[in-house]
Amino acid sequence: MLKLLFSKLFTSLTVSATGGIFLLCVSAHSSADDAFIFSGLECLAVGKQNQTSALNTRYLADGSIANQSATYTTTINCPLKGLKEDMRHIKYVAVNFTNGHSSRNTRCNLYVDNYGQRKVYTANSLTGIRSDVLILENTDEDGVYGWLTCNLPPKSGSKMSTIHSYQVEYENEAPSCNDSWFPLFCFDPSGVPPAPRFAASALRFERKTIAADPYVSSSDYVTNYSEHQVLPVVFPLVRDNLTENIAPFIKVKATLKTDNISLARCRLFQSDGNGNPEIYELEWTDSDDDGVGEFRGTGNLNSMTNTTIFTVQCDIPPKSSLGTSKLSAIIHSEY
Amino acid sequence: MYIQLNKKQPKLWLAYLTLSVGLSASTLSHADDAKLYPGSYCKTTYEGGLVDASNGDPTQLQNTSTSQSLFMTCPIIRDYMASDSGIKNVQVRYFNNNDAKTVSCNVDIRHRDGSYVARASARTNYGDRSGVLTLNLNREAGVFRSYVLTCWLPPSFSNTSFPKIESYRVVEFD
Repeated sequence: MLKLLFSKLFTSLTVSATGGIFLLCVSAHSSADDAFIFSGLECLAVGKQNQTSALNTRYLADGSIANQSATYTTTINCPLKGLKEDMRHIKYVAVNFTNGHSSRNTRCNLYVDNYGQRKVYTANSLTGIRSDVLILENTDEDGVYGWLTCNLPPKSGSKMSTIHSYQVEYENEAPSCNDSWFPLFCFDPSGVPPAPRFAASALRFERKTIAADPYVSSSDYVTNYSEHQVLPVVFPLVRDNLTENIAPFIKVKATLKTDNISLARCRLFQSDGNGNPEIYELEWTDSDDDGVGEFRGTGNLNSMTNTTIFTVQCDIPPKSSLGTSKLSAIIHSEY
Repeated sequence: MYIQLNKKQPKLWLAYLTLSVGLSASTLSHADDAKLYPGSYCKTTYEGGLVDASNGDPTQLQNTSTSQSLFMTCPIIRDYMASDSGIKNVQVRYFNNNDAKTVSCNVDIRHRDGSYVARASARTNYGDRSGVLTLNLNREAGVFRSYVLTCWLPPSFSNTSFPKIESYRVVEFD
C-alpha cells in the first residue's frame, strides 16, 4: 500500500545534470484531475504533405515523430484531444523530446483557445544533443481546446530530433457549454453534455489518397490547396466506452468553411471489420448561410457491438476564386 | 532536467512541490479500461515511406502489395498515469489471405526518450485466415512512459482481397 501511495503521489524523481533534485508531485492524480500520454504518432508535419517539411518527417517504431533532415527544421502539429476530458480545462503539456542538433534547439508552442481568445505559451530547450522534457503551462483560467506545435531542428550527427510523447493534464471541471464558441463543443445549446464526449481534432487525419494536396496548418485546421481535386481526409475515432451494458451512441460533427458546399460531404463509416461498413451521410447545416456550418449525424445503434469501429471521412472542396475550404474539427460522442 | 517555463514559473514549481496527500479512495482502486481503435489509426510504411493503405475502406488498413510486407506503427493513448498502472493486453483483429506468411505484432512500453522498457509479442499461425491476435503484456509501466503497438502485415496472396488490421483493442489496468 505504501508503494501504491508513493506511486500515486510522485510522477517523477529526476536528477539533473547539475545535481539538482526535483520532485514532481502529482496534482495529476488528485481525484479532481486527469491526464493522458499521447505518442508522437499523433502529430503531423505542418505544411503541404508532399513538400519538404512533411517529406522530412518520419514516424519511428518507438512511437516518435522525427525530423530526418540534416538540413531543414520541421514544424509539427499535435492535437491535444483527449477523450471525454476534452471538455476540461487544459492545465499543462509535458513534451518528451530529443534535440538532435549540437547548436540549435527545440521549441514548442502550446495554443489554447478560450471562447475565441487564443493564447500561446512557448518553451525552448537548451541546445545540444539531449533527450529532455519541456513543460508548457496554461495559466489561463479556462480553455478546453488547444494544440501543440514544435519546431524540430535538423540532425547534426546521427541522432534525429524527435517528439516521442506528450502528456496532457486536464482539470476535472467541465466548462459551461457555449454554442457560439468556435470550434463548437456543444451539440445542444442548453448546457453541459450529459455523458462522456470524445473529440478529435481535424489535425488527426489520414490521407485518403497520395495524389491529394492537403495542407496542415500550424493552427487547428486542414486545408485543400488543390484547384481541381476534392481532398478526402479520414478521421479514425477512438472508442472508450465499451461496457456492454451501456449502449453507446455516436454523433459526429464537422465544421467546414467553404464557398463550394456542393462538393463537400462527410460520411460516417460504421464497421464490424467485414469489409462492408455501413455508411451514413452527415447532414450539412449552415443556419446563417455564412459558409461556416456543421455536418451532423449518427451511427446505427441497433447494429452496434463492443467491437464496432467508426471512422469519419470528409471531402474538402478544391479552392476557388473566393478562397480555400478549411476543415477544423471532428467531434464524436459516446453514451 | 532542463525545463524552461515562459510564464508563472514559480507557480508551477510550487504546484509540483506541493504534496497532494488528499487522494481519494477512488484513485486507489484498481480497474481495467478498454479502448478500441480502428486499424486506420495506425501509421503505415513501406521502406520508410508513408502509404495509402485504406483501399476504399477508411476503417481499416490493408496491405495491397503482393511483394512487400507492410509495417504499421499504431498509437496507444495512455489513460492511467500511476506508476503501477500498465497494459493488461492488446487484441488485434486481423485478416490474412497469405497462408505462407503470418501476421506479427509487438506492444511496447517505452521510456520518455523512446528507449525500450518491456515488450509482449505474438504471431498468428500459418494458415490462420482471420481472428484476434492477443498480446498479453501484464506489466506495470512506471511514470511518464508511453505505449506503442507495431505490426507486420504480410504481402497479399491475391489482388482481390488483402491482409488487413481491422481494429485493435487496448486494455489498461490501474
